[in-house]
Amino acid sequence: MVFLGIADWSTFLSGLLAFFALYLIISISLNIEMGYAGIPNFGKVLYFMGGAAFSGSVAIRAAAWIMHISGNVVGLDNFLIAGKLTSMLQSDIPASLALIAITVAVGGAVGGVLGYISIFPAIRLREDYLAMLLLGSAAFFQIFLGNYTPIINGTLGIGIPNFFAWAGSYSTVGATLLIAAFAVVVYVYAERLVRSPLGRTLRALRDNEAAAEALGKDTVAIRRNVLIIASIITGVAGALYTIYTGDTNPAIYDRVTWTFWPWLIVILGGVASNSGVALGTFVFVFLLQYIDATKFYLQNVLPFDVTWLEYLLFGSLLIVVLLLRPQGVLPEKPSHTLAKSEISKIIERPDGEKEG
Amino acid sequence: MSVSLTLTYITTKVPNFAQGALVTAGMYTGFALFSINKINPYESLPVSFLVGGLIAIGIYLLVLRPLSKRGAPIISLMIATLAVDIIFVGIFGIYSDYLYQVKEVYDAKLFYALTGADFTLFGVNGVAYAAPTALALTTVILYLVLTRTRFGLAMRATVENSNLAKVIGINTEVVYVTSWFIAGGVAAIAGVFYSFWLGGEPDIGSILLISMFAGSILGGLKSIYGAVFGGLVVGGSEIIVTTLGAQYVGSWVTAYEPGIPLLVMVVTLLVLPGGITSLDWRRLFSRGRQ
Repeated sequence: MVFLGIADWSTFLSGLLAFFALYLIISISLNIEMGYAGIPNFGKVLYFMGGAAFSGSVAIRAAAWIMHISGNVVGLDNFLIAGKLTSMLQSDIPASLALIAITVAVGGAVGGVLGYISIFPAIRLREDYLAMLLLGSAAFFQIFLGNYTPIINGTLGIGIPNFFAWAGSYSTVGATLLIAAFAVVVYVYAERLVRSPLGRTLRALRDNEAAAEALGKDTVAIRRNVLIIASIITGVAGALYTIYTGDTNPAIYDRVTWTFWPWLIVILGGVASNSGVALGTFVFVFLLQYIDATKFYLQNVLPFDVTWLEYLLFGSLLIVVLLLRPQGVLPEKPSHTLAKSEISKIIERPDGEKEG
Repeated sequence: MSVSLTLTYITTKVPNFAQGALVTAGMYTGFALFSINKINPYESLPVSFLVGGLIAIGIYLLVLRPLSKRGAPIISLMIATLAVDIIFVGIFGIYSDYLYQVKEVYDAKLFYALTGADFTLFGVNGVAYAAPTALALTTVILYLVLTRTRFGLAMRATVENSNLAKVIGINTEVVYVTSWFIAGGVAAIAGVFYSFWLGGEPDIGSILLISMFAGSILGGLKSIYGAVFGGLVVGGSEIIVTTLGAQYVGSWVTAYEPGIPLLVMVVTLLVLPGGITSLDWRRLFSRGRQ
């Protein structure tokens, strides 16, 4: 039954959840960098791309090694080998789980290394120079992946085995749940970070660096740690995306999808507000997925690709938000050190006892 | 291209990530007029200039001015120009699809160098003469305007200290709009020349942007002459290094051409963050004192 233009609601909702979780992870990590630590990262796609490409490359090699398959796994036989490995892994749950863990770990490690490299410009340069440099580096890294064949076979990309093959027809659901679980972990971590002493230090550093330094905070070390943590998170997101789609290809890591959309989400939802970012992610991903699912109606009428309309729509949306509500839909609130329930308990206490 | 980027940077103090869009606009104006109306891109240069200039004014008036009036921080301005860039990638995408499907221009989505439209002189493509001439002309005209006219004086005053310029009665808005118009036009013309040399596609701006930034940063981001120099060095080194590399190391080197401007950018920022002009000034000053 076609309802609201969507024929297959279960596929739609499953895709919605996967992309919601994925974009939540990336946007939260961007929010930690930009909203709390004040590092405007215009090269978000760099860490995502690194995590996704290298984890995919390692994943299929590791799988081939475990299953004793030889041959050029990232060459011409790649898709044959990936298919063969998928059928072998179907009955081998422990190996599948181990490979998932390896893939995620590689993604995080690569993201972390790239983050470590970006520290050097990030702590020295002013934000405009930094933005240009990171944007440029990301574009170059994409070209590098497209031309250096040993990693993911250049522009052709590689397929990796399906690590959820043992779940049968639920394999996509398995990958979706994996991303969702990680998104929950990241969200909880970000919320706890904001309420922790480190979170308060970060905001102090963002709002008045000189004052934070005068109070004895090592601003360089804090920035460095934040950038590495956020990069690791983004790298893992890349690995999860590779597991989810089952292939990796330089063409999919463009700056619109993985740098600009997360920025749009964070600004739409509210800079330095985790709940705002979650709301922004939901609104954005819902719109994106809905357009994707229904665009073939328009496609028959229009003499051009509907994807370009998405660019127009979301680009304009960002400018409108910046003009009309620069603080976002759910702006930053003073964060409470205690949980909300504790605070309401304190408020409900009889007069004279309000403290803490 | 670097000249125009620097021009927008010195007026609004924001790196314009939509600069690639202006270049692409010029490219597609020239391309469309050539393939539909059979007008030689050289003849349609004024049209391209106008299109680029008007788009630049639009960006300034509709996006950047309202934002900076609200006191938006530089990060917001940067992301806004990035948004503009993405909007334009969408527009060019739609336009190229439209050319492809309605006007039946089958290479609109990814066209190759328009060498067919170019003239040749002594066996070398005309663009090899035209582009440097245009650059020299632009530089000379800008120099004359900036130093010899009242408007140039007003422009320099606005750039140095816009509040003070306002106090003595200079209409800074006119200055800003004009410099954005010139910047857009110059970028668009650069796009036309680029399409003679190499081809184009809707998203070409994102790759060109690295070279433009590198040129401007090398030039110091504050001086137009610095940008001319930076642009020449970056463009020249891209071509020289890849040609030599392809000859002596192997043809795979050419694919990494965008890495050269990136390298230039990194080295400049590490060694000489103020760009080439900051270095020259300091030397001149110390000599003057001796």
